[in-house]
Amino acid sequence: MKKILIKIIILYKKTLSKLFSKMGFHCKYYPTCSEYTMQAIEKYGCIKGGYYGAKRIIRCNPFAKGGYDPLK
Amino acid sequence: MISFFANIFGYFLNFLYTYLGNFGLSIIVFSIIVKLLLLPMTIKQQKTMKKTAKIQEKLKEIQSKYKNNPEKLNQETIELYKRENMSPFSGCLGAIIQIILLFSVFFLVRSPLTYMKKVDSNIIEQYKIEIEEQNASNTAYPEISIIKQKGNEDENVYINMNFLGLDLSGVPLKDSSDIKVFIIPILYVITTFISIKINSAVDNKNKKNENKLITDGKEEAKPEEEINPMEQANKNMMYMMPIMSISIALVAPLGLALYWLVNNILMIIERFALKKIIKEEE
Repeated sequence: MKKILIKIIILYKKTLSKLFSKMGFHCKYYPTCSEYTMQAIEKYGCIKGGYYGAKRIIRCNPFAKGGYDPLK
Repeated sequence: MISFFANIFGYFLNFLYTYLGNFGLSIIVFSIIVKLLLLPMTIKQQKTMKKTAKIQEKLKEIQSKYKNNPEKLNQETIELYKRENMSPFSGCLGAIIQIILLFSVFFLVRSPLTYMKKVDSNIIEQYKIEIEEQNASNTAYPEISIIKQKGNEDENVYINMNFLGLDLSGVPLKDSSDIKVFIIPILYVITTFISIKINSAVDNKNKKNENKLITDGKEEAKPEEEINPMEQANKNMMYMMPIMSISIALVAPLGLALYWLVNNILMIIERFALKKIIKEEE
């Protein structure tokens, strides 16, 4: 399960992510949301890691400031 | 999770439908309203895109510096944006919203009874079985056959799918005997290519400016540096996406293609309008 999710995220990074940056969407944080989620899933497992990832994505909204925000 | 959002949009679409009494018109009004709601975000996005074009040179420098270290590259890029005092982009949430919207609309046109009309699932199930017994064949979109076959008998499962003489419940590849089902997909293809052209036209302009800058700086104009593999991938993606969406549009009910078509047209209008607005502000 963990591996499948990480594969999906890698696939996203290779395809959709590039399209989004072309469209003007770009992650505001470093590491990017997808990297952050990947690390979180690896460290905490699918459910908790996915939860952290989702929280991060919600934080990455048009009103956020962005910047350096590593996984704790 | 998607069905949760599809339900919310369904309420909204149903509200429009009860007033307009036409599925096609409701979809058009729906997409216009969604576009308007997202307009502030789009304006911001366009502005940042313009700014990005301006600091393109610095970006290039960073990009060549950290070619082999994408993580560092991203970090430096964000630092640069901070220095240039521009809040970068609309973030990941904006992108996710687009994905959710895409899938919700697909759910909505695939099963309008569940998501839009909120018909009880037991009733749908019952009709489904009845139709299956009659035809002895499975369809990919059972709810649409319910609307077609039972709509006349039962008010609750009736949706007016007729739009300018087109049957919006038609699936282009399945009902290909009726040539009219291809009108919307073809228009969709045309508008897609127009929007791609507009996008790449902007890109080319940026590139030309860049080349000029290099020659002005007494450096010899480099004849198209080695083709950046990332750029090439981007280019491929630009064409991949339309091909993918067109093939989806051909196997999905026409409602989806109509939504995308309206979206495309709105996007083209938006592009031109925003260009003017941003120029005037400068």
